[in-house]
Amino acid sequence: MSAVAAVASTAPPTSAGRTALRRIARSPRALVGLGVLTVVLVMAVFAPWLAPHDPRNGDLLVTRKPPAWSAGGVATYPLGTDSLGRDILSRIIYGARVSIVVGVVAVLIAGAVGVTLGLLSGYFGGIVDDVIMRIAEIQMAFPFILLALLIMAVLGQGLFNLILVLGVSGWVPYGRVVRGQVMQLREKEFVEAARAIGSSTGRILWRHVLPNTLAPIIVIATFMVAGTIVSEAALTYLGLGVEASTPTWGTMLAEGREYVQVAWWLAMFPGLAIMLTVLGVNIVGDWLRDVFDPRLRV
Amino acid sequence: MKPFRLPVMIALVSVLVAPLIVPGGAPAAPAADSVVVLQGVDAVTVDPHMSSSLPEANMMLHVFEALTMYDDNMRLVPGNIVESYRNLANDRTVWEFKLKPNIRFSNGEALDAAAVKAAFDRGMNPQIGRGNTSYLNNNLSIREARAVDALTFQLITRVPSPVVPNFLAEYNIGAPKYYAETPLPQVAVRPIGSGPYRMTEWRKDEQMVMEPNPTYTGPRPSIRRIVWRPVPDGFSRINELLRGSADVTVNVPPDLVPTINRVQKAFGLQGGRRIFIGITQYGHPALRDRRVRQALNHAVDVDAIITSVLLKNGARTGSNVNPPWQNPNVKPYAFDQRRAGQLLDEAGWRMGPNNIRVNAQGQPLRITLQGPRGRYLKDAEVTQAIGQYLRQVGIDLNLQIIDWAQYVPPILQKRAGDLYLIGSGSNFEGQADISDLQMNSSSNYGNWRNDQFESEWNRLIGEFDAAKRREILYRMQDIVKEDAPYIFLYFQVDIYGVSQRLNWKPLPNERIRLTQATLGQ
Amino acid sequence: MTQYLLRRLIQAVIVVLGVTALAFGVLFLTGDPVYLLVDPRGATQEQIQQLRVRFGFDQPVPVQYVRYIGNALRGDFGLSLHHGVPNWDLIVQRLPATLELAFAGFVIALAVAIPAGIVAATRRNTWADYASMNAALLGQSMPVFWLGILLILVFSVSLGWLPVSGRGGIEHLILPAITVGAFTAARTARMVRSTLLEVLGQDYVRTARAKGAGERRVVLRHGLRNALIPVVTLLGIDFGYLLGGAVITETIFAWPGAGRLAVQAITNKDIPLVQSIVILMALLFVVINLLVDVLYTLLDPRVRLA
Repeated sequence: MSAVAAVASTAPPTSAGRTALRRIARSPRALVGLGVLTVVLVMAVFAPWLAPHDPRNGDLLVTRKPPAWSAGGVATYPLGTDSLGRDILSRIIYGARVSIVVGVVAVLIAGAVGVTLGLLSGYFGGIVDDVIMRIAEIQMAFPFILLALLIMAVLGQGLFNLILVLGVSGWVPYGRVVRGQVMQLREKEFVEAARAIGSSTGRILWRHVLPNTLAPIIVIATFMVAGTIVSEAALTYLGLGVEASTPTWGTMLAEGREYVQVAWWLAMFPGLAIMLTVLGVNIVGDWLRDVFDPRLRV
Repeated sequence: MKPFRLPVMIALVSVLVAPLIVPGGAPAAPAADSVVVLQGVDAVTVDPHMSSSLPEANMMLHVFEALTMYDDNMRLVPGNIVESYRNLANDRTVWEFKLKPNIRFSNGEALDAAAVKAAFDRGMNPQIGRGNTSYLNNNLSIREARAVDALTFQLITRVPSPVVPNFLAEYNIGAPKYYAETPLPQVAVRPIGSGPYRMTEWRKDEQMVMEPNPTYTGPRPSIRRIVWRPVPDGFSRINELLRGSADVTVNVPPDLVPTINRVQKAFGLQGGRRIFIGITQYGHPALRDRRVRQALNHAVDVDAIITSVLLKNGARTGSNVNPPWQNPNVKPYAFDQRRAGQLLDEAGWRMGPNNIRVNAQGQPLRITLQGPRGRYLKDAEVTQAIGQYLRQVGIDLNLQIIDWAQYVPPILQKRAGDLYLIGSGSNFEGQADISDLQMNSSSNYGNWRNDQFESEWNRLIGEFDAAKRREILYRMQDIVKEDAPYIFLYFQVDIYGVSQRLNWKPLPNERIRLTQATLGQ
Repeated sequence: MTQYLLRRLIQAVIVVLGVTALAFGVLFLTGDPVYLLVDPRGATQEQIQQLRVRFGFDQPVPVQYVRYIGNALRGDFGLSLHHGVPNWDLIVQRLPATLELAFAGFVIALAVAIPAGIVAATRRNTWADYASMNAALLGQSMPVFWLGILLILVFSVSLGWLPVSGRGGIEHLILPAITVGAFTAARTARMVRSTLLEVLGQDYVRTARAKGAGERRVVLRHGLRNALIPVVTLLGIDFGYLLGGAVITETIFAWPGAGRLAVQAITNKDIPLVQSIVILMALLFVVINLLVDVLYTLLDPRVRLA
């Protein structure tokens, strides 16, 4: 989200890919961020092969075991077990799936909506622009979490509704940035040329304008993934997110928080998982912004 | 570039800082003579006839009195304002109460038969009587409230019913003139009763303060100040207690008992609330077969759940009736998954591929189990543990944990999942307990119906002889166990966190009553 | 300038109308909103119809909306289903607590972020820069509720310095204010650093340096003054984040504010109350942003051209 302002005046990137590759080798922090993200992605994709235990069904004989390295821990449950004897590690691994799915799908929805509206707004200007920008302001005026709570309360909790809410309400930053880019590009020679040879508006937007707005979109999307993961956990924490029987980091944290003094591992590991993932995403976002936005490379 | 405007910035900063300098209200650390009680939510109203929640009932218990009351052992006794009461032998519909003389409400109004009549008339007014009062009205079925003379009050019901006094224990009696003349929004926030305490301050969502009522004639309460604070997050409630800034907190998770006992005290007390899995008759057709319902009961190791998940904070039961009316011969279903398998086989659900049972048409036995989160002791965990056992006997189980707020409406509207976990509170009167299964009862959520049970019920409600009532209730419990409308689980143990300095014992009916509590060192 | 402000005012009115329309529309996602009020089995058709009339659900939706706006202009946001009293009263009672928390969070955020940003920018690539920027990155990645839990564990339970929950003296305000302000602090610190770095590279600052102005004077007088302008622009938006963060923070810290009221209202399915809270919070947001815009035009005359 913080990218909005900083990216607003991004110049179109040139040979961003090559610059990126060169810069990543020079940025150890970016490597760390990418590393964290890779781990989370691998966990999400290969969960059934990686998880040592069934994340849903536990063994009532091994409840509340501490992590393997502390006194009373068992090697087969590296991060310990919860009060139903379920393996914390396996639940964290499966929980990555929900976080990633929610984060990525919601951001894709938000991106699709935002880019479309931003393109229309910037290319046509005038009344179209006015209407779309007013809608954006209306959207921005809602405290996000309250709006999400209201809609979840009305629609009912569940993964699908959650993704829908997070997705639809997150389009504004894309819309604004794309609009700004398009306004600059609209008068550029190559767009004029396309128009002159009779290309349709849709084709111009798709072939000529959109590719030139990709850089800021990617940067925003990265930051939005971080925000969305946190929002998912927050709504779940308040009891209006994903159904509680699905293993997610938010549920685990919500269930474990009362037991922090007796079984710290119940809340600590999901809390760390959320924080590290978001940190990783933010680092990558920072790095992408530096790469794409020469202005900030003082 | 215009110079930065310093005055503007100063103005902005002072607006921002101002609220920091002016603190609102007093610090919440408990004083030497006051007791701080933490509940999950604040009262919405303290109108004696409109309230509906347990936290409100706890507060009002200190401000209002009723015609009857439960003592610490859950025995029903005449209320503090009542000398004696009786059921007229020649007309069982008439209950007559002799009131004590010279009782006054905290605003000085007299508590006499006319005041009691006014309270019942107010509670029965359909524009007013809501929440708990409307539940009481339904169960009491009052025809008339009558002031015979200054200190004689009669309550006349439509049909003879032996359980009238039990329901009267929560029928609050407020000051008649005050409640007749004051606008509703005002009485909702300022209760006037005759109880041992009166409310002196209420800042919503912050705290409600009570101090001893000077007009109270009963035994003087020892605690000079009760502060009720709503703290929604369980994590914060526990830590308030551990830190010593609270004296009583509710819904303590069993895992924390040792931690609390290191610094404060934790009390576990078997309550009257029965926790069970309701088996709907409108859901999966297999569940209309008694053998399947019995099989579900045999499939779950309830004892292991009580030991491992609840850390022994539950009392196993095969009945849905509380002591003293519980039939001691009704034993819980044994944990026997082989027997469960046989019963399912007999019912036509044979083990198919992937450890999932199928019927003759090859349809899998796919059943939905729903459980709440955040209402009962470890509700979500217990539901998930039960789910694990049901999968073991070949049920293709769809498990759903739903937050409490979203959980109840579908159950009330009879469109819940096939199986649902729920708890039912108790007034320790067998008839009220077993009425959960009566076909016309609004709490018969699963639509279970058994004709034998109904004919016993019709006998029970008109029977005034205690020994005969006991026989009927025992027979009904036999029927219920055999026909298995529930997966029987346990009586919940309510765990309270209590500070070292407070001498107080909780009650089994989930009420917090501090009238006899004392503060020690 | 008057023209610009007038335009902003008209835009704000449009936004407020849009906000109310949207929040109002959500009610009808449920189907017939009267069923939020009654249990369909327990009530007769007559009772349901009575309620429908009482709450105005019998009218066509546009009529209901116009009436809603009309009432809202007079401060009448309808009755809460759960509390049975006007929504407006419930919210207004709790708004001071929320504002106190949001402002306190804001003050803490700025008090930490601006010095940290300056230090990071002026001592670029030193340990101070790395430490403060890594802390900011961490703060930005920390979910609000997780931070709240950790703060209670450390400062209330382990050290025993501060109360766990509730509202009272200033000691009650500290932990919730840090919790609610952390994200803004992190974000602002990073922004101050990057804008300051940018400004310090500008020609006029170089000129000032060349003319022999002290480094301290250069940074404070020329650099910070201009670097703060984009920060001020985002103040209004940040305030929206703070209001949102207050929802969770108030629940954890038992803070008697409007956010917690909203969470409770959702638990009680009191949709009209949630609706009113959403609308009033949005209104607050719009007003504050309007004020920020005014402030901004005073700070930076160039905006008047925009």
